[in-house]
Amino acid sequence: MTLWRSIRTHLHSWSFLAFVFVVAFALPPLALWGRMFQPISANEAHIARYLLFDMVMNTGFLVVVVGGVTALLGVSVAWLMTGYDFPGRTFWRWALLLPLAIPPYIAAYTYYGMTNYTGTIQTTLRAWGVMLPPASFDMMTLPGAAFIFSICLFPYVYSLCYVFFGTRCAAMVENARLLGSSAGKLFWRIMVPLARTAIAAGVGLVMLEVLNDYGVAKYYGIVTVTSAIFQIWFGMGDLASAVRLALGLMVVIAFVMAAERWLRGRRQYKLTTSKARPLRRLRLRGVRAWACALYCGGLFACGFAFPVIQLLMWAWRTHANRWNMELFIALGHSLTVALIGSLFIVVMATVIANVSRLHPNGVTRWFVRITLFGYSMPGAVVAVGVIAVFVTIDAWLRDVLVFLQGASQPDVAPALWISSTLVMMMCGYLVRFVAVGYQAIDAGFTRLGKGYTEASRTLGYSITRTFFFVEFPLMRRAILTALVLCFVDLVKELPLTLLLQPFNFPTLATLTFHHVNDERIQDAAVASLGMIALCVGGMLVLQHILEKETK
Amino acid sequence: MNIQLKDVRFQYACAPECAVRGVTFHVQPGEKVAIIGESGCGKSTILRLIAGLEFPGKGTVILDNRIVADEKRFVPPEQRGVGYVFQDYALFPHMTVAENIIFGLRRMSREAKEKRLDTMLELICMEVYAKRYPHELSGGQQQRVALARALAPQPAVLLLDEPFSNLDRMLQRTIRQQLCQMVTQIGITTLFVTHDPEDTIGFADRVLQMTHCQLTELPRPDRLPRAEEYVSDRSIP
Repeated sequence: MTLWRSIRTHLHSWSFLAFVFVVAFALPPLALWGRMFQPISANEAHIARYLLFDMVMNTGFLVVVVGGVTALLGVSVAWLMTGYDFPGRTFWRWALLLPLAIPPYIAAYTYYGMTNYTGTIQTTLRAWGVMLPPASFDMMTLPGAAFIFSICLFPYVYSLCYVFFGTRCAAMVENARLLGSSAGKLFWRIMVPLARTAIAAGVGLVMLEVLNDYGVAKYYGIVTVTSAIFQIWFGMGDLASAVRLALGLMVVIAFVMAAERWLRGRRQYKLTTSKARPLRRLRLRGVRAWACALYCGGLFACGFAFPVIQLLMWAWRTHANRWNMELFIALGHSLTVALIGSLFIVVMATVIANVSRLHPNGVTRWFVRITLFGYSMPGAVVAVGVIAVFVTIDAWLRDVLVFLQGASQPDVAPALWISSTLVMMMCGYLVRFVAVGYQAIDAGFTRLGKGYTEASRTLGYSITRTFFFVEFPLMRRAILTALVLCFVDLVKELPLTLLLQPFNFPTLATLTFHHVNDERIQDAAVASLGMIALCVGGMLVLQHILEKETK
Repeated sequence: MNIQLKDVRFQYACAPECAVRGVTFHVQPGEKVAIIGESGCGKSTILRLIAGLEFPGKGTVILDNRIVADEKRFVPPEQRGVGYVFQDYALFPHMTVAENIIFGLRRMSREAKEKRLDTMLELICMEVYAKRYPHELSGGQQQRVALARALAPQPAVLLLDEPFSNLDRMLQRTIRQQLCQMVTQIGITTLFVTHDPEDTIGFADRVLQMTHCQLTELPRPDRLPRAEEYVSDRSIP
C-alpha cells in the first residue's frame, strides 16, 4: 500500500478532527517540556534543601498506603457482594458507591470538624462523662489524610472489581469449589490473581486522584508534590520551578504506567469464552452474615453517612446566612461549566474513539495514548501546561496585531485576550477529563462491534451519516454514561478550577475551598451539600442506565 | 456488472501471515459464483476487499470495469454500489423490518420508497412483518430481511457471506431455493462464500476453492465430489 493512498484513504473529516483534538491535548505537556530548559532559579536550591525530601516522602506514603488500603477494602467488598448473600446486600451494593460523591477535601474538613476538641464526637463524649486528651483523633496528620483518601476513594476499586467478579468468574469459581478450595484459598489463589487488571485499574485511578489532590494536603498542612507546585508558583512566584517539578511528576507517572504495562506483558486475564454468566451466591447465616452487613455498614457510615450528617447539621445552623446570591451564582457556574465541559468532552472523545476504531493502526494508537495521558497528569500540572500554551498564544496574537498595525506604530500593549478566560478553564478540563469520556464511549463502541457500521457503509451511508443514523441511536447509553461521569468529575474538580478560573467566577468547589481556607468550615456546608447533591444525582442517573443495560 | 481481482494480497494487522495471497479471478455480469473453503481460510476477506471494507495491500480490484482499489486509489464502500449480506445479518436492532429495508434508499420520493418496500416484502414473502423488529423474527426471516435490505437499492453486485450458516438443515434448503430464484429473477452478479459445498449445488454457476490463501477453480457444482472429499490437506492425522 502506498503512503499516498494510505493518507488519502484515512483522511476524512473525522480523522482530521481527531488529529486536531489530539494535537491540542498534546500541547500542554509539550509546553511544559519546552519550559524545562529555562535557566534554573535561585529558589531551586531552597526547594531541594527544604521541600523536596518531605514532599517526595509524604506523596510516596500517601500513594502507597492509600493504594494498599483501597485495594483491600475494594476487593473484599466486591467479593462479598459477588459471592455471598447477607442482610441488606442489595442496598449496600449501591450505597457503597456513594462515597465517590464526596470530594476528599470536603471529607477532610468535615472529619476534622467532627473529631477536634469542639467537634461533635469529643463534645458528645464529654457530655457522657468520657474525658479524652484534647489531641485525641488528630486528623491533621499523614495517617489522617490516608484515612480520608481511602474511605472516599475505595469505590473506584470496588466498582471495577464488582463488574469483573460479577460477569467473568462464575465458571472458574464453581470449578474451584468443586475441586475443594476453601473460601480463603478461592479468594487469594483464584479471584485476586484473575482480577489483577481490574484491581490495577482501580488502584491506578485512586493513586492518580491522590496525586491530583490539593484540598486535603492544603487543609491538613501536608507538603505533597501537588501542594508544593502551588506553593512554589504562588508563594515564591516561580513558575519555571513549578513547571520543572510538574514535569518531574509527569515523568514518574509515565514511568509507572509503562512499568505496569511491561509487568503485565502478554497476560490479558481475559476469558477465553464469551458465555459469561453471573455467579450463584452463597447465603450466609448467623454471625457471619451480620459481620458482613456490619462491615459494609461501617464503610458506608464512614465514607458517606457521617460526613453528610455532619454537613447537614452545620448547614442547618448556617443556612440563614449562606443561602444567598453567592451560593446560587456558584451553583450556576458549576452547572454551566460542568454541562458545557462534559458535552465538549463527549464530542471529542466520540470522534477520537470512532477514528481509532475505524482505522486501528499505529497512528490512532498514539491518538489514544495521548488522549488517555491527560487523566494521569494531576490537575495542577495540566493547569501549568494550559497556562503556558495560552500565554504563548496571547503573545502571538499581540505580534499579529502589531504586524497588522504596522511597525511604525506598535501601540498594542501586552494583554491577556484568551488567558484567564472561561475558554482556558474549559481547555484545562478537556485535556484532563477527556480520558474519562473516552473510556465510556470506547466501551460502547466495543460492545456495538463493527457489523452495523459495515452494513450501513455498504448501503451507501458515509461515516458521518452512519454515526448519526446507526451508531448514535445504539450508543445513547454509553454516551449518556460518559456525560454523567464527566459531569460528576467536573463538578468536583478543585485544583484545575482554582488555577484556571477567570476572575470573579466562583464555583461550588472554589467557594467551599475558600470558606474552609478562611477557617469558616461551617459556612462551607451548604455549598458542599450542593456539590454532593449534584454528584449523587449524577450517580442515580448512572445507576438507572446500568440497571437498564443489564436487563 | 463484472467483478475482477488481479493479484490481490491482504494481511490483517496482527496476523503473522497473509489472509489472501495473489488472488486473481473474474466474475462475468449476471454470473453466480461460489467460493468454498475451510473456516478461517480467507474467503470472507475476499468479499470484504470487494465491498471496500478492507484495503488490499497489493493488487487491483475492478468493479464494472472501474478500478475501485489499487496501489494509488481506494473507493470507499458507500460509493461502490454493492449489496452485502453479512453472516450475522447485521440488521439494525432499533429499526423495524420496513425501516431496515428502505435504509439504503436515498434521494427517492416517499412514494417510490414505499413502492420499492412493497416489492421487496413481496419478494421475500414477508408483507405482514413490516412493523416487526429484528429480534421478533426467526433466523430464516432475519436472513430474508437482510437479503431484501441488500437488494433494495438495486446494486449491480450481490455479496453473500455464509448466508446459510446460521440456519438449520431444513431451513437452509428452503432459503437456498428461494434465494436462487430471487437472484436469477433479478439477474444480478452474485458472489457468495460458504464452507459447505452442498450450498453451491443448484445455485452456483461456478465454484472456486480457497486453499492456502489462494483460489483454484473446481468442476461445475453438479459434478462436484461429495462434501467430505473437500476436507483438504489440513485434515486431522
